[in-house]
Amino acid sequence: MRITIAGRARGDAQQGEDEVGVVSLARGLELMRAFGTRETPLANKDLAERARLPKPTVARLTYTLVETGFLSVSAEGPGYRPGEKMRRLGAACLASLPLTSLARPAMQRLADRFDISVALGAPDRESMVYLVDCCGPGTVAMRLRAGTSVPLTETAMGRAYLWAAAPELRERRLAEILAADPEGGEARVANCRAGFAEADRTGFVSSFGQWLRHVSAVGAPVWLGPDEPLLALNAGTSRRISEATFRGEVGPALVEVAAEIASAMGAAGQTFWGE
Amino acid sequence: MEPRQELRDVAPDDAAALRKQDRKFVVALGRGLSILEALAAGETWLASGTLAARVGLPRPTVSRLLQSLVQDGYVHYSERRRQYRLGLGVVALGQTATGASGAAQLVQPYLRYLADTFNVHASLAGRDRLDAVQIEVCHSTTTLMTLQLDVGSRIPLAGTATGHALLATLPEEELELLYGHLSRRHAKHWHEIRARIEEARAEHAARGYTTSRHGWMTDINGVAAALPRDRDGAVLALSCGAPARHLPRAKMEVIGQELKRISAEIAAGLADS
Repeated sequence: MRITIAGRARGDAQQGEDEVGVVSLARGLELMRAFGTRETPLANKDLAERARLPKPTVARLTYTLVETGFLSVSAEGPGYRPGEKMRRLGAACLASLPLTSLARPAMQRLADRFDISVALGAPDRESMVYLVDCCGPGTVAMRLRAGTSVPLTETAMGRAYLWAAAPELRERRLAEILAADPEGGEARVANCRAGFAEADRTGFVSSFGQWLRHVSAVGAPVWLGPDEPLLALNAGTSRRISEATFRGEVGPALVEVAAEIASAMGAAGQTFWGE
Repeated sequence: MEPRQELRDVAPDDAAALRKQDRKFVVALGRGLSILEALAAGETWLASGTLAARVGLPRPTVSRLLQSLVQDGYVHYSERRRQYRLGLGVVALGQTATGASGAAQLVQPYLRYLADTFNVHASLAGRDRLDAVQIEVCHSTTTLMTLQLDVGSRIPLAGTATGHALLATLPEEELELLYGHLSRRHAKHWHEIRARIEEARAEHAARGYTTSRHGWMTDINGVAAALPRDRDGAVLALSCGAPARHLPRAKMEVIGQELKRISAEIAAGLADS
């Protein structure tokens, strides 16, 4: 976890207190992130290890999060679970994005047509976070829901995003992967570059078992406009749909969905943030 | 009931006073969270002055906290509007499983079935203090007529089928506590409201669902059934609603029977998972 403190050298007591406060706020939110997709509770000890913070510091933060209803004390043994308020923040954010309702119809049609999962995501740190998810009638079990984070470089959605991102950003990300993972980094970057080459030809990236072994997926970027965040779609399934079908039918259909979403936003006169 | 619940339910001023004496409480974190909550509460966009007023803090304090929240992506600032709204950082926070999300996932196909079969707005709701909050919703696709209720939308507990179903399976002592709060919110009509809740509880006990005619906004009918309490003790309710003219009593009875059947199926599914 990195916390940067705005380095204004005022030096008075008030300023010092504010900085401590801002750090506490950032740390508290980092702890909430640590819950990720976990189903099992996390105790102060686990959180202290993950956040690399002293346990008494973590204890005060979790105490505060419980008091305010953002964490709840687990009924199944030591530790905490995310409180309903935590989930509600995400739901409120998504509900107030015009995109979530405007994108859904085209996505759902594709999900129903091939009986697959279709998701729309935005970049969030080193991941893509799902904003909208749709599933076909038979794919309920493998559905990844809005709020799920998936890795940038391993998934069709993440690679589609990187492919469409500004070259500096893309190269910086790839360099970070090489630096962080000296052993496997080369292969991961090579897979990404293969995806970019595919997208140069077709407009989409495919991944057959590269992220999760049993999952096949295609990804395509969504351009909403010059001043808008870059987004990406994926369409995937754990069932056997042939690679040929994915490349020949699902991929091109996904690229069309991306265009439909952009034009639906345009037709509604909406921007991503609903300004 | 845990002491922290009481702290959450007291008026904001009292809570602030209590917290001042509470040395374990990290004030800046509490303040930052109250800013996020204020941004999640209603209007999407708020200016920092308005936010400061809503959370009852000095403007400079709110500005500094906002700066940090914007930097970390939890809040988005619009240059064009000169206002703040929730950012995508909170979406990753919000994803995690509550007791409800397992149920929410399981329940979606049923909601779609209900919405399409009966041309209604179907939802899964939970309780937050004195409101029912929509956790998962499904609008009817075969008709344009629907209710403007989406995930995160709130309706009052009192006077709605959804709310009454959420109260239907509460143990007496919890209900008494809630009645205390509800009677303050609905001081004027409390006698009448309490009688309707009691009626709904009796109906739910007898038939496995409860109906409400012309509840909430006057022209809405609803029918709802509580799911059995989950392992965290959270109560959830399935409900269907539509404008009153589209949901006559006979149709509500049919839907009620379906809700009863489906909630039993979902409960069995949850027990398996």
